[in-house]
Amino acid sequence: MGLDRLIGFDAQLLSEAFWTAINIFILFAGLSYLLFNPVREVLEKRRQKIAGELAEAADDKKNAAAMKAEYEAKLKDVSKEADAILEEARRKAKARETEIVEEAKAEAARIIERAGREVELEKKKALDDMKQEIISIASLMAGKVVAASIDTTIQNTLIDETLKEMGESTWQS
Amino acid sequence: MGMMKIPMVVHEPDFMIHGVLKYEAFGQELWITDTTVGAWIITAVLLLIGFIANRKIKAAADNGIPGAFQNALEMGMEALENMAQGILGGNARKFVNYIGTIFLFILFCNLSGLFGLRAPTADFGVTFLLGMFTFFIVNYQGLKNRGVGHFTSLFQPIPILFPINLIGEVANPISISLRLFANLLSGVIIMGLWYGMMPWFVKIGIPAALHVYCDLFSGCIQTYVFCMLTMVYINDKME
Repeated sequence: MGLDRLIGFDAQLLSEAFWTAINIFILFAGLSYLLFNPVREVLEKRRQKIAGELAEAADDKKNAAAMKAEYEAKLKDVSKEADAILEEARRKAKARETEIVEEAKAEAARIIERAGREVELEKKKALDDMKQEIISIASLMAGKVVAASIDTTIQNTLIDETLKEMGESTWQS
Repeated sequence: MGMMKIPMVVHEPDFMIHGVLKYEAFGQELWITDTTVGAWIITAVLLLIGFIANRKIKAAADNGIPGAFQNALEMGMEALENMAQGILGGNARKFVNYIGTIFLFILFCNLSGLFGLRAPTADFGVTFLLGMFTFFIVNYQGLKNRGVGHFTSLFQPIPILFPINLIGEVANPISISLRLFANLLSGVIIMGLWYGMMPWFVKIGIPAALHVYCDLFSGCIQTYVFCMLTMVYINDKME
């Protein structure tokens, strides 16, 4: 006759418990080795990987922020430097402008002075030439008049008088 | 006036545990029962799933791409760890493997009724053992963490309460094992009666709803309750 029962507190209960205990031990060892530990290991590795990547990303972000600040500071400095260079260039250009204007004024003054001197010399030369012309013409005319109307004595007297009237300063100027 | 007779009983309702193989041990006549065989089948199925999962995990580790099966495993493992951490806190890691093992074992046992097996958890021999495991783990943790205080706490807050405290300690494994056993047995009896005593036309469709409640709903709930209570009892002894 086979076993046919619903519940009983006897040796059969312990037999059931014994076989169940073996099942549970085998399952515990088998599932721990095959399933739980490998899955947990995978999750732990992934967790560490993600944590590492997040830390790396945070570091990169921090470095990028530092670099950005540095570049912005540099850009600000560059702007200031450019302003300073432009200012210096303007100042130098202004100074050069003034210098050039001064030089031009001086040159102009020198040119004007030289031109004035040349004009004076030309004027003096022209006066001398005129005097020479006048003397020549006068001599010629006088010679002709004398030759035509007066004798040699009168002629000499006239020449002397003429020369006296013109004076020595006339010839020297 | 003649009445049409509907065959009311197809066969005798069967919700008993049956012996499959007789053996003798310690002078006792003992039986390998259908619930023991069912538990072996479930153990084999779980180990097979574990083996396949292990292969999949190793394959995914090689090519670096987890498949749908591994995603499901990881999700299940995280759910289990979260459940354990919710109760045991930092101590959860030590017990996750055991809780996971009994969770899967009880769940598959409870659901085995859907596949024609007699649920092994509807046998008190199985649930009693699970309750005793909980009892031993709880008391081991109590001794480990409290030492002599584990015993003196039975006399707290006043010594006269010792009998009540003692009953409270002993009642825990009995209550959780009986709760699981009785819930599953009630499902087995209801399904056995329905299949055995109802006329043929109510055996079509309607049992599906009963299976959903007795096997699926009750099975999942009782699995969760058993594991939660085990963790709560362990946690009580961790402080």
